[in-house]
Amino acid sequence: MTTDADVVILAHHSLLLAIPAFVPAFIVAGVVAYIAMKDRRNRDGSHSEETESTGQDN
Amino acid sequence: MTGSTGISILAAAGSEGGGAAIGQVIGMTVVAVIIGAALCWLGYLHRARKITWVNSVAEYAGRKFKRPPWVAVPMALFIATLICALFGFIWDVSLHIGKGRDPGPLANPAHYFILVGLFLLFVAGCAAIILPYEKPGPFAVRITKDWYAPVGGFLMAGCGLYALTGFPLDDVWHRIFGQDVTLWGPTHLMMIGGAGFSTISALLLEYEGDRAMGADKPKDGVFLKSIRYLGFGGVIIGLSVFQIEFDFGVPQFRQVFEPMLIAAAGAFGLVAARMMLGRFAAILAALFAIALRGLVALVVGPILGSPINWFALYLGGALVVELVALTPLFKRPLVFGAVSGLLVSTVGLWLESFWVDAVYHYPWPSSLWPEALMMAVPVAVLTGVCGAMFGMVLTDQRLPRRAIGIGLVALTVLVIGGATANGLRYEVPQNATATMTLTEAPGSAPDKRMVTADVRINPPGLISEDANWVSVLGWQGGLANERGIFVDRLERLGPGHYRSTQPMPVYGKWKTLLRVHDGRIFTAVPIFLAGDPGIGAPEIPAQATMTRPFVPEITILQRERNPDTPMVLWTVGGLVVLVCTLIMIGGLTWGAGRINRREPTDSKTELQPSAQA
Repeated sequence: MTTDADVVILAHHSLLLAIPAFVPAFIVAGVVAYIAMKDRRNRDGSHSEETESTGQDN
Repeated sequence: MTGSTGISILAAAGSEGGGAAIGQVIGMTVVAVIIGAALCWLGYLHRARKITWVNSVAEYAGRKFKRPPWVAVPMALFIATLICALFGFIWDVSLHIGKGRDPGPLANPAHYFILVGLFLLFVAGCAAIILPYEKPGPFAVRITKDWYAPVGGFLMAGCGLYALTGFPLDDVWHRIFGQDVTLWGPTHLMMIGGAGFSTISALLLEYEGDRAMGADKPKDGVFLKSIRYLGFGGVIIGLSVFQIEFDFGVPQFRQVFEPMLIAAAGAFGLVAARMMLGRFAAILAALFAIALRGLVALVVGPILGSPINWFALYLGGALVVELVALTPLFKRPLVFGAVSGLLVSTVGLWLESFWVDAVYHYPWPSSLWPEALMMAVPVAVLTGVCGAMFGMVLTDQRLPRRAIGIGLVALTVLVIGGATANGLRYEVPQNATATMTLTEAPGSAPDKRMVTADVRINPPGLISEDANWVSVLGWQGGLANERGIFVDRLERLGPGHYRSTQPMPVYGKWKTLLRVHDGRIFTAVPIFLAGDPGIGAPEIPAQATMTRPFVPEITILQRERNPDTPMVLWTVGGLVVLVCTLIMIGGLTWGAGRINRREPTDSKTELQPSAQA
């Protein structure tokens, strides 16, 4: 274990470094998923003539 | 512990004059947020049809590349970004081998290439999702009533997301377990695996573009044709990323993995290439892979002065796939894939072994083959079958029934898992020691001590004559000192008696050790380990005569690991990564299946091949 304040475990710092990349990515993925879900829910209510095309094929 | 590490990181940044570094991180975050927000805003304006120029640019690219706009733009971005990520990845590995772990967040320039590469991979996938105004081809996934996105776009973005997920998990991982300086940390595998598997999504997107254009599609010129071969070369490279430690001559796992990984990647990529692009496609794909890996290796090694890496050629495998394709088996894709896999993992590996023996630090001894074949053959047969199914999707052939197709993918995953579990088993001999007598090498500078060693392993009968390796590895010595890597396979003088063939470095920051690998035995003895105050590890000096016990190699090569972490955490961490990985493979399987099965819903597409089992 380190006691010296100047000498410490240096992790990758990848979280710090990667925040600009992965946080927007997750937000975008979340927003697209949200839009798609909302659309599907609305459609179930209003019976659109569009064919069903959820993730699963049939 | 976690909390204190968090604090100490800030302290570290402060204590090493890292104020500027923190400033850089903040600067980079600001830049990235601006770019990200701008992209999102552009996407919104484009979807809301408030601007037209994005569409005009995309259509121009589409005309230029003879693809729909939603294929042309993402593919151009994808190819550029993946080459960027590949370069960053190889360079990063080489820097870690030559210099050890990173001294700070921004000290390693290669990280930028990886980060930007993986981020743009995600952006490329998003571009395919956001661009199309009209339904992009018959297989498109509905997002809203007037917004459909190609399956390949979703898969590409998903692979990017999977790779990016590796970053935060990696950080958590390192805080819990300490740094593991190996490529095969689970979170590292996510980052490289996401990029590697994204090549499959790119080919699916390309196929969707083809189908969407139907008969109107103009013929590809030489450039666009070669891009397709490059695509399959990309699949081979993408699936070869797991071998990189072998390519650098610092494998931290048993040697049987190497042939298995080569056979697995080769069988999948080469079979699919041959099926989609016809005669000589397997060989051309291998040649493109060689050219790209060769270029990157040239830049990283000779030009940037980092450790040298080699790469498997896959030419032997390509040759046998081409030959099998000349037989009537080619008409039965699954059989073709299985037989090709069988031959790639036997004849192909045998041909590959000449190359490995010629250039790699560790040639394949004859004792390797029985276990290597037991692992490689089942794995390659099944990846060959998966490659054939991928090829069927790309050539409009009907896949076998859904249960069979999914079952084959699941079986492949299980068999790879089983073979990997076997490969990870190793033994450290109890009560064995190595007695080493060091001789100062003539002419070595006083501050750069070089020695040769005479090594006696006790008991003498411990290691067979045909061991995988008895060698001295020195690494992390700094790029200025012989690129920071030293590998010397010792000359065998008699049972348990070995001798250096060249002087090894035992000074400065080097970590020099005797490595022994014979079948299941996988162990090492430290010769000289530089003191590492950062992790509280004292120097282990190289004495003129010393007798030291054999220990698990991981305790020497990965001194950064925190040994006190409970096993449960490791299992939980591994399971999280495993679940993410299975989701990604499941997603690719679903996408390929959807593209193959979905009945066309728009009139543009015709010519659905008749169903066959």
